[in-house]
Amino acid sequence: MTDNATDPMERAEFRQLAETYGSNLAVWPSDKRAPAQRLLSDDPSARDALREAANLDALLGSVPVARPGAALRARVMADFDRVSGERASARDHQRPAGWRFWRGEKGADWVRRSLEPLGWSGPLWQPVGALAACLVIGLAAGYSGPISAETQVFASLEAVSFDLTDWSQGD
Amino acid sequence: MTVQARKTQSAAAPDPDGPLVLAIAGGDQRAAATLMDRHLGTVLATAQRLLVDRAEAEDVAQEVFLRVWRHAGDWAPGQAKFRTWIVRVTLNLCYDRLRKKREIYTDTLPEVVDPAQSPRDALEAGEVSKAVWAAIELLPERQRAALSLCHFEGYSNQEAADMMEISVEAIESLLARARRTLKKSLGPLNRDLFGHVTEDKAM
Repeated sequence: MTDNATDPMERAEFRQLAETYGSNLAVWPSDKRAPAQRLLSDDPSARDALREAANLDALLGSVPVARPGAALRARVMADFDRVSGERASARDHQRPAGWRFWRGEKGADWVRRSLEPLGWSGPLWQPVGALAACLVIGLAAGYSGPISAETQVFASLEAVSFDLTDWSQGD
Repeated sequence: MTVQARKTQSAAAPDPDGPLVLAIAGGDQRAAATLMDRHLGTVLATAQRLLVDRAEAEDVAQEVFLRVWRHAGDWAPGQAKFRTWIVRVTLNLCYDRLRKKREIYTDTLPEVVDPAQSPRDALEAGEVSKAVWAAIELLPERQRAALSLCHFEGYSNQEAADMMEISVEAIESLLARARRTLKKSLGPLNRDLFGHVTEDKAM
């Protein structure tokens, strides 16, 4: 056996390599290629061995390659969609009930049914958005209004207390 | 990817499939389609060379990808390359099916075409590949797997050894035995086609 690329190669080793890797020297172990090339140029029996390997390669090359068709690809991607759906569903179950209610289309259906008597047939985001806007505006007005009801009550109590003071200090 | 490109790709290079697998775990359909485009061909061809039956090979390919979709979230980059893992899963599923077949056909072996029979007839269009298929089918399954990965799919010895979970020396031995057996069984066909006697001869 040759130890490195500079040692001459024996015929038996050449045949062994041709029987293992076939006729394409490019796929032989890198340290064997140069000695194999030298033997090929010098030795007709090495060329015979390579020709035999090439014949077998040609026969193996006649075997058609199995290529995936559209139906198989569709089956594989359908599996992906199913597994992704299951995974998303499992994630949803770990979220709050309100999220699940909406994501599970139950919330959307409920809103749609509620709007049916009003004759609404447009996209749901419009009435839902309007409702949300009303809520936000109402809350904002409530917090930032000029005089709150609470302030008015305190003001009345204060006035009564002054009246009582005046009465007790009358004589 | 070409055979030569696979042979020369560095083993130390980062796994080009790693980011795709992570994206798939997050439900990215485009990443799933890209990964399928890269590997479905190899998976199907490897399964068909081992199982011979096309429909069965397609079932295996579908099962392999189902496992990818299910376990993408468990994928740990930096361990075995994704393509090594996916071929390993393919081989194991094929071995399982072949084992079950052997149990079924213990008493009645399935009829196979004798690749050495009537080579003249085999020269008819399409018959050569049938005869070669039949010869490949007669190889022991591990020889068939080694031949499929190294000769047909163009993986390096090291990568094929990783995929089959054996040593490089064992891969070389399987390859050599497979080719020697094929050379013998296809001898008459080889002689008719190329005009050479392919029986072993001393050099």
